[in-house]
Amino acid sequence: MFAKLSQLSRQERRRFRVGLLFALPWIVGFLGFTLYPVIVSLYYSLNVYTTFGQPMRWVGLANYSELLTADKLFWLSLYNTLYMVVLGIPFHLLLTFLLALLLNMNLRGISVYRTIFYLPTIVPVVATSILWMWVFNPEYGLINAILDELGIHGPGWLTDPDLAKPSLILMGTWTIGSTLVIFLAGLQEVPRQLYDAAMIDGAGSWQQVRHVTLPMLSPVIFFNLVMGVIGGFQVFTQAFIMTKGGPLDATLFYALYLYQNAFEYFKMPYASAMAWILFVVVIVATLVVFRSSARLVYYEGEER
Amino acid sequence: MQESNKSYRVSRRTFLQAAAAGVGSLALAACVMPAPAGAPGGDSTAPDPEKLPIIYWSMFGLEEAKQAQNQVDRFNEETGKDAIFMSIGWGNIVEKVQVAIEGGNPPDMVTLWSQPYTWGPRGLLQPLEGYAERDGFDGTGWSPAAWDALWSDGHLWGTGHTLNVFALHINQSAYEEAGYSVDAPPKTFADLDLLAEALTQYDDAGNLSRLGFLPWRNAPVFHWAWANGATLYDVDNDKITADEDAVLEVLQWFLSYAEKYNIDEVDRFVSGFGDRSMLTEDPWYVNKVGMQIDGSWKRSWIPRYAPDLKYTVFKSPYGPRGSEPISLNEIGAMFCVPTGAKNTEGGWALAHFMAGKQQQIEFGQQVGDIPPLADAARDPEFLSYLPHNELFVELTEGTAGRAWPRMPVLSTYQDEMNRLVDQVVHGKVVPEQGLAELTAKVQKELDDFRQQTAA
Repeated sequence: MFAKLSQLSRQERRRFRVGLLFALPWIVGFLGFTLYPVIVSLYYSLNVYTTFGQPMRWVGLANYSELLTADKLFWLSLYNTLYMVVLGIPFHLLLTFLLALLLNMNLRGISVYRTIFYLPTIVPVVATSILWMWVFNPEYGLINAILDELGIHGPGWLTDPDLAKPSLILMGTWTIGSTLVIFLAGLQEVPRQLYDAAMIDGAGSWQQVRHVTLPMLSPVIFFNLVMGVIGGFQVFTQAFIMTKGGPLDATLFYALYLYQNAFEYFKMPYASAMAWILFVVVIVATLVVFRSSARLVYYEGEER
Repeated sequence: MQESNKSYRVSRRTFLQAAAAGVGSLALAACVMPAPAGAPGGDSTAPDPEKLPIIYWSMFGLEEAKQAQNQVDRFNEETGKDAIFMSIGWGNIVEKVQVAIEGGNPPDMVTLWSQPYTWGPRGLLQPLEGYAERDGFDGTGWSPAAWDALWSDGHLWGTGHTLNVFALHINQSAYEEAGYSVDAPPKTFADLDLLAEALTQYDDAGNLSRLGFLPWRNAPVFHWAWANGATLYDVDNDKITADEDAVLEVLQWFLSYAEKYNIDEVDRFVSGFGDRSMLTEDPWYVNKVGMQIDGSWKRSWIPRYAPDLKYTVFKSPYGPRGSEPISLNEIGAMFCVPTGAKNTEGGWALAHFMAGKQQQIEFGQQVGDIPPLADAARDPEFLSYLPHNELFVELTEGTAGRAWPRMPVLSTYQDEMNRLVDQVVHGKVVPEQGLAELTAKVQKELDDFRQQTAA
């Protein structure tokens, strides 16, 4: 970088400095409020800390060891979170993709439909959670009211341990608007000529989707998958607001358990160790996604 | 183009100066973080407390906030100090205070619930026994449970002006409809079982339409365990005693309800209702639940949210090992002084003032809770203000009232107990095994804490 800097002209160096100056507030914020806490949390995770204002005590890997060998709730929360990632993310991606195909059609008033599907995204997640608590309410909720009309005695969506996580995944469909917009943008970038050529070759609708849309959209799908995986591991608010981790710890997600350790039980170093394990898990999961999906992603102009 | 080039003209020196100024400003800002204030008579360099305002962060909102503001105004008039009341709200206060303390910039006085037992020994609150001794705040005339509730680990963590007192709330219409008289209240768990059955109703399809009673709804297992003679925490030996037979029997009693009324059906039925903090969604208001344990504050809400409800209140029944009604008594709002408060003396002065008789009566009337001072609780003005005040006051006297086990891992103990109840009533864990594991786990947490703080 410095070698390159020295090759810049005087004017370019000045411009670089101006740019840096403008970016300085963000850089300082990043260093102070992101990088520093991240690094310090690694140090914390190797200590115990019980009394405010007193020094920490070094315990090495004891927090990690306890988490991995003695804490049943740690593994349960990891399982619950993986469940949401493995089942929830593909379901949401598939649904969003299908919806994007529909919203990409040339229909009168299509922008109104697009707006309607995007609208729930701008509702704060806390408000969404409270709304869905009522939708899922077994006695007075919308879903069970419809089921009652059909003569079905609806279940307790958020009180049945087997249904609580699927219910939250179902609720997640309400907030797919952002992903939907990215899919729509990707769909509109697919050249019309490719569809025309495919039609001339006799391809039907499904074959056009299979052989034109999907390959051309694969970078967008891949991007949404990676972002979904990263976000999926951080699922917190719905459980915090709606279920408090219940029933029977079925929605005790990793981030919620981390929060409890940090702010309810005051085990900040233990929570820091959890955060670092989560970081490793997310990195590994992202690498797995990269390694397994890279060959399936087609970039226009890329030589194969 | 010339003009454009000029606008980018920032020399290396200017850049470095600007960057240094920015970083320097941040460093200066960091330097003004207040250091924790000293104990009484401590840091001689601290600013004169007489000249500092007293910042008070409160959990109270709405009408309660108005009352709290009035009391702060009176404190200012009487003392000439400058206390500033700030309503944070009960939904946010705990997290905000915690972050403020750890960030080094807390208020001078805060209201908390049972957090001081966890926070105090961890250094987040200032012990106040020195101030209390100096100013004669010694528990004279206080309900034993209330006075106990202010202390843990040998330190006084705050004062208080009301007690949340728990008792059995009855929908009187349903009760009388089932053939019972309010002159013959249930005394024991067995009486409750009979009443629960009589008050429970099903619709034509066989679904629950009214739940007579559910022991774990609204009431912590601690409440029932005490009612069955359990101790739960041996304070002298610092031992968790959740594996007592008295606790086991309570869990088995819970399980009998889960089996009798079909836990899946019960879950479905009650999950639509709010918890005890909800104002308007209480199923007891609308005859969906016949009886429930509830707090003394509920009576102040009934005129607002269920003015037509015909109700009565009984003392909570006791179990086979118990001999008298008991009640969980928790401080409705503990007035604490955080570590790092700039005006510790002022914070204590306000906390001390809030525990005065007049403040206790006013706030007790406002929220329906019970003054800890016998003089205030037995004041005719208070006793006649709300129905059943006499009964609630009795539950704060003698050995009837029980404060939470005051230990530094209380949050873990409470959460683990709730988790165990959930597992037991859903048949996932055998009560004996669950209690043994819980006792071992919480004891380990407690021992670890003691070891870490002793090191």
